[in-house]
Amino acid sequence: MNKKMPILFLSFYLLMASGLLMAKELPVVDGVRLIHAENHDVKMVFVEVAIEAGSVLDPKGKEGLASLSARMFLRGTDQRTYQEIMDEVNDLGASLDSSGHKEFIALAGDFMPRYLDRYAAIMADVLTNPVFPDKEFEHERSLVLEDLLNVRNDDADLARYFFARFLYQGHPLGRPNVGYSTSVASLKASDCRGFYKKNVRKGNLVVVLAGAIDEKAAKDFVKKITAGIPAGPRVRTDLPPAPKWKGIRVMVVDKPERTQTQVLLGHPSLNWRSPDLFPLLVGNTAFGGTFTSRLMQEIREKRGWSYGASSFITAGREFGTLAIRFFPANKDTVPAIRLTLDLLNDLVDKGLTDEETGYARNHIANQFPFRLETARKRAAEQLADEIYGRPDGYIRDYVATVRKQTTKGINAALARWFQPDDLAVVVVGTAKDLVGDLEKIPGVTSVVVHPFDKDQLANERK
Amino acid sequence: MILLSALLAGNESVAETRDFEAMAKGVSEEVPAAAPVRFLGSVRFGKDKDIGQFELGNGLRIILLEDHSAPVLSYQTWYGVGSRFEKRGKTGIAHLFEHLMFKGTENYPHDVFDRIFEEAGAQVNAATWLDWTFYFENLPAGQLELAARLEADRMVRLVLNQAQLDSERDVVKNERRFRVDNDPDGIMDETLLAMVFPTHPYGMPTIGYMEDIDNLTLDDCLTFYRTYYSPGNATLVIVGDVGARESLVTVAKQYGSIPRVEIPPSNPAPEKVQTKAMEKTLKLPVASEKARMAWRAVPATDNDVHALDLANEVLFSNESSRVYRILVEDKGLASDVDGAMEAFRLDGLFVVDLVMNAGKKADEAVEVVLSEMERLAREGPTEVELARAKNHMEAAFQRSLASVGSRATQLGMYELTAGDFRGMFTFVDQIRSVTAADVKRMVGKLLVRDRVNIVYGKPGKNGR
Repeated sequence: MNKKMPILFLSFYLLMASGLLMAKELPVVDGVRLIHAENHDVKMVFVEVAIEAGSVLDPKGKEGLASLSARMFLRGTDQRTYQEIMDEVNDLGASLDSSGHKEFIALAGDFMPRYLDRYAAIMADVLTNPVFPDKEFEHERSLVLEDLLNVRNDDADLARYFFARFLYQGHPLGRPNVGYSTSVASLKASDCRGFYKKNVRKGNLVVVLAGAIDEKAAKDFVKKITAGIPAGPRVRTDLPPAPKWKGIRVMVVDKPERTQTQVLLGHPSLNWRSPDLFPLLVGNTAFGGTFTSRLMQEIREKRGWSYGASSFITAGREFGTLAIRFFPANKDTVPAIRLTLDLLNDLVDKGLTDEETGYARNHIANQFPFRLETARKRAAEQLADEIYGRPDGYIRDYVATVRKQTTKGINAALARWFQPDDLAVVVVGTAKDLVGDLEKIPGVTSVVVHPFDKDQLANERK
Repeated sequence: MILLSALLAGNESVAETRDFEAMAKGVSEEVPAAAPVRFLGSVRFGKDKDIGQFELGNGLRIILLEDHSAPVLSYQTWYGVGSRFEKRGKTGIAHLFEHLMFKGTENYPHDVFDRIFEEAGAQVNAATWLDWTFYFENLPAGQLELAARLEADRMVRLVLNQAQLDSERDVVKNERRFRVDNDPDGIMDETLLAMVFPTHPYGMPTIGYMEDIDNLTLDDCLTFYRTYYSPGNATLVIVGDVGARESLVTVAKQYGSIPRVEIPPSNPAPEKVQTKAMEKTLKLPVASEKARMAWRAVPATDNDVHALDLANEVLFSNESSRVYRILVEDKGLASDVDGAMEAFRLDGLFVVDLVMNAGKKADEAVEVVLSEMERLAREGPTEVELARAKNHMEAAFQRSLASVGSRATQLGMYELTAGDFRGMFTFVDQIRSVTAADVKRMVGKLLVRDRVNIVYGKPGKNGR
């Protein structure tokens, strides 16, 4: 026990240093929330401007709008062309990129502190004055469409791309952030201008600054880059409830001549505020979260069926996802799925042992310092608190809450949240080698085959 | 530039050198089995940290960076053996053996070894490449002794049996299916490397050919272990929240009594100079055409490696680079363009990747690359381009130091690939000293049409 004290103490120190123990509300600079984490060991400053308008808000038929709008911030302002923006950023050795997520879009990059003023000027321009020029829009959209086309090159990407869609059956959480090829093709530059006008206001912004920058400089930076942004409140939108179904639904993403498959299976799960969150985090760690967990031992170590086998719980603002992934040779695919179902049923029926839960508690608690190791990681935890509405003290009390979990409570939560009878399964592989055996798995209610080079699923067509 | 030198490329600290020398002497006396413990040198890191290098009597080298900024540490064991030490017909043994190193020892059976680390909160993994194999544990502070005890144990007391080999062989075959056989980029990489190095072992895939993986025997693995896994062929890198003296004492106690083993030299004959361009076309399940190009370049120990790094920046690495602009922005031929100077211990590769837009021909993009190489060799980079490229490389270097794990990896990589970890701290100054004439000279000398190797990946169902 004594050995653990320094870790807890030093984690406490990092929490203090990062502000994660401090005020519940983030500091606000001229109407914009700021997350600041300082460390001067490495001479770089990371900056992220999160705008709380992600793909879950994309209107039906305009899926991909938030993501493409984010990309278009860099495609020209009333002062700089795209090439001028990128040349100025690259002159500094800096980076600046955009990204689209479920709950927000972001402009993010990093720079050496000696270029703070020059970088701030570029960021301010990009954030405040984007003009979404038609010609640049056509080009950026064509690059998104190429990306969507190239998803089919990589089997693991294909599995991820289709899994959420098959699982969520049209729910906004199942949409690819980048949209569908048909919806992206129908977007116009004016849609992006509308997105900007609707969503870019001070209340909707969170600015993250981490690394070699002190508090005063961070506040000045926020003032500079957001001076031209209109005031306005933060707006949050509730999501529809998660889909429910009975039985095991299977989709084979049919790709010719595969010698291996990519398998993802799972179902919707819980949100960040659920009282079952910590029991489930500990339980899932023991079941499939580490190299020595049950799933990895059974699939990889005992049988050599897959290079990796793991189980993930991703909590969400309203609900999240439980997903299990492995990638066996063709001949081992159906046996591996059957084994996984047996393991899930056994988990729900008999639960974990005291040894397993004790191990998982120690693993998670002892690994905690890595979540706060760098300024950027500490800032990322604060951003997740803010965006996903994690409960007060989530990080502050993390280790203590993990250590409080009992085997009984963990097993009860696993029985409530793991549903081996009601799953969505996506298999990327060669269908003719798989379908017959997949249909014979007990509990399977349907097996659909979807060509790997066709984008939209049946339930997404208009 | 002066500022940079002060912050990064720090000079050897006289006071710290004296401390480190006294420390080595003290550890020799405290742990006689490890004597003589020698201090090999130190270098300043940041404003107030020093990195020291030591060697035990059995040849084990240790690089130490004491850093208390977070309650974590990284413990890395770098062995000077990778796939270039393999023979044809036995490809993949270095990598398969890396997997087998997790199979347990006399003291810590298979099901215990990983569990102990994971329960302690460690992130544990390993990697194999051409010149090295390394094992890392990123641990919470206070767990140095655990890492040293288990790593020292498996350096000499690994237990292997046929069942473990067979099970892990299946895992590695699945890894090969994942990384190569079912991945168009993996297939193209493997093909290209074999073209650039038709006789040198750098041309053999680190993961191994499937038939070779199938045929490796338990005896092969045991012989490999006894030959290459010993203190004289290993460098430990310890970075993080632990005292330098405590680290050195702990390592000396755990490893000091392991005997030195002489390592057979590996001096493969250099590849002949290529005089004719080579190309291959593969039919792959890809949406659009791809091309991957490579030239033999220079090893990590060659000072001209930085001129080629900068050439890559000028031509390929970002939105302002010449080829990227032409292919992605101006002509709309490609959706992605990338390049890299990959320097190894004995040789190097300059690599270019092209992902075409639907319906566009990769050979048209390849011609743009070759023409722009010729233009760079003729005219050199502009002042603006060179300054931009240098800033980019400096920032990339800073990013590579973000965590204890990445700092330790950089130190180990420099030690094993460039031959001296201190090279890391002269990197920025070396980059800054490269001239436009250097870039022009190296591109004109090496990145020429007659020496290019090209693999095209074109849409089709038939793989290879």
